[in-house]
Amino acid sequence: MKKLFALLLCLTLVIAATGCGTRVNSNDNPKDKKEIVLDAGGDIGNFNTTLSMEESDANPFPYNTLRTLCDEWEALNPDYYVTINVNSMNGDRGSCKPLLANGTAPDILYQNGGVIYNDLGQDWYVDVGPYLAQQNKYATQYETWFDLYGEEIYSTQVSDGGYYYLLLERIPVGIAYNKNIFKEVFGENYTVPSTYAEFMNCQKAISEHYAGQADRATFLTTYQWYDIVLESSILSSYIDESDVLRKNGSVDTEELIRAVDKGIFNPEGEAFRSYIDLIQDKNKYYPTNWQTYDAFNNFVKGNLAMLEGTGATFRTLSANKSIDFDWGVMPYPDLTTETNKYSVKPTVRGTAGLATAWFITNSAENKGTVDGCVDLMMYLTAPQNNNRLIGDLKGGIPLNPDENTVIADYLTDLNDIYVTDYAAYKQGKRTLWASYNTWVLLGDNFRTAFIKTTQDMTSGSITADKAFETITKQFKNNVIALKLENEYDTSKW
Amino acid sequence: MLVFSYYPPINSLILSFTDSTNGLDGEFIGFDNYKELFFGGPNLYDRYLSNTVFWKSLLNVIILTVVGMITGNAMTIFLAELLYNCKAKILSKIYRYLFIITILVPGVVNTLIWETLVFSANGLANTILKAFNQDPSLWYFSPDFMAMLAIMLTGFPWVGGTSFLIYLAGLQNIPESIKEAGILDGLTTFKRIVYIDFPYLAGQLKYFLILGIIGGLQNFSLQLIVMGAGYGSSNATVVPGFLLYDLSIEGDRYGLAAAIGMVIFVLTLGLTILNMKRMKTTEDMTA
Repeated sequence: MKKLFALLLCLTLVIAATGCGTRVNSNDNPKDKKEIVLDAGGDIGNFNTTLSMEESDANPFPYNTLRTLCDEWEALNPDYYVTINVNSMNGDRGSCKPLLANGTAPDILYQNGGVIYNDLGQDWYVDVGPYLAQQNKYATQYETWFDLYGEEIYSTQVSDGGYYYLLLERIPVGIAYNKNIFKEVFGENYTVPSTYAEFMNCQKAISEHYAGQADRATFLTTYQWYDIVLESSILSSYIDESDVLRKNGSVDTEELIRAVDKGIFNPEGEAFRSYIDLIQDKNKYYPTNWQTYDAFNNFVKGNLAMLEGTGATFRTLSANKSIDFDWGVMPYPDLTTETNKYSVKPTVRGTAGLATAWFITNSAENKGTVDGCVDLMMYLTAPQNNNRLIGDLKGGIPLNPDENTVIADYLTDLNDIYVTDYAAYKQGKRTLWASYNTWVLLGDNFRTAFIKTTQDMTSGSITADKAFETITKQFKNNVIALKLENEYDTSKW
Repeated sequence: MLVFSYYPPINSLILSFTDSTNGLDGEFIGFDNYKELFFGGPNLYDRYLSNTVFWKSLLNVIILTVVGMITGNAMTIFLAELLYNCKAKILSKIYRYLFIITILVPGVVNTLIWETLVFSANGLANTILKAFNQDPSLWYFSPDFMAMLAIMLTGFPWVGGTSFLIYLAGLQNIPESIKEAGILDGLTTFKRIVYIDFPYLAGQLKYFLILGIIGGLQNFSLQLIVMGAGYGSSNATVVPGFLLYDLSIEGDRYGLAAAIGMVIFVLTLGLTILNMKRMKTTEDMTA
């Protein structure tokens, strides 16, 4: 009996200890304060405090800046305390959706911003548009909170006019390349390709240089980011006529459907066809059986010359001690009219726009902590704080870095290019990242179908003609379905 | 029991007759979800570029379950017999520990080892093919039956730790008098296994066949971790469990996913009852 009692006691203690360990906050949960629960995931890496602040091979990026900033904010806002969940759900939909549906999600929840296209109408998130129109009291140099983000924030507006998440950083994106291979193939004074045509010549030269070596490859990716760049470049000639309902430099779902409905953009037309052909062309130097070729590890081993990636990829590469060659990061080569006549404006390079979407959820509404959450987000996005929050994580680019902001070495080139290109965008010479990205705008089903079909085409199991036929058929079906589903007010079209 | 065991399946049954997109509520649509599963429809076609993807998933899961049960049980019984008949007791004990200790390796790690070391572009499997002057294969990412073959080969030699112990215990529980009688009657080892060991292992075999059916029909871990429904639009490796997960969590089609859950439930129940009726245990034989 004693043994049984001792066992039960142990189990109770274990369960209690586990429960106590799930959340971390700096004070003792005073009952007269309101609690803000925060799931601190991110697109590049999450913002949780690391177990140790000592840098080591096992802990290459020690971090506690979010906790520090929350402590500072609590001192300014004594009515609240912030609890940061020890483990972020990292936007896992299987975990997030039941919590959102039951109103038990963290008050501030990280998810990929794209989920809003599926979740619209569920009343799971607070529309932060009215708050963005106000001034951020921690960044009074900007007239409104919108201004702190620049024009890219307007592209996060969805078709009901709402803004359902706040963003924390800019996500670097580009191509990591092996400098040793470039020197070997092109000589000491090589230059990285700056146009698509140069990029293809570069692939051809590397491919020929390593002909017959099965382990070697020229260029691979882990996701189709360059395809997003190419699509927005090719369809840039349609942006002015399409981006009219909410003029912000990017086409949203309703605007795309309107453009198709009014015959402004035809998915069966030449421009879209040239996009499909370009995807096939870009991937023609892929190695045999590239589907099973581990791009990241082969880059680390020095077998792969160029690897497409984001800040997360570059951050991981920077921590890898087994890399015994020089590597750098180049921006995406521009698609010019010499290669594709529709590509009148190349996209802004260096970053894939704003990233790390934090949603204020229905839990905050139920608990009455929305104002506190908004205030905390204002604090975290104010430059003097945001530079520390993002800079210390060494994977992303802060919203408004200044000369004192520490940006990881491998990201500085991309940041400089972004600043230059964004200025060019303001002069009307470039278009924003993903400004016309049909396979994201038309929902998850079309995105899945698009990726599957282009994979079939790249692997050679179907022709470009067949891929184009399949994609355009799906395109039109989804336009019809979304039009019926969303009941748009076409009188405004 | 009511909350954790009965409410979820009853709620799933209700959801399967709705167009629920959030798992909580939805409009009643009768048998539309079931019609779409078996005869195709826009949701399935949009996502998988096929109207027959559910049929393919059923065929795949039946193949994988049957092959998995045969290979898993045959190899485990074979190993149990080897150790049971091993004359060197110390060696037998060492082997027993060596085979059991593999339970400690998490399933996900095991899967990633197979993906990275065996079925990658320059992995063991393609190295063997090259040695015989054969073209390398895409294995898990093949658009054809090679993908299914790769799944079947994963985990070779398919010797499960727990089931191996239970079969070994079953063999050790065979009465000495029966074994001695067999020896006196001049039974060879092979005949002894067939006529004495197998009947005495029937109870364990029945247990593992039921578990195999239940686990096999629901399993989609390899698809979730490695290749999804299959490379491109081939749907070569699709199984109902993966469709259920993908349509609910990624595709927001909870009603359709619940209908898949109901089909898996009916299949599992039917096959288990059939198995219970067809297989005779030791007790049945004794009776």
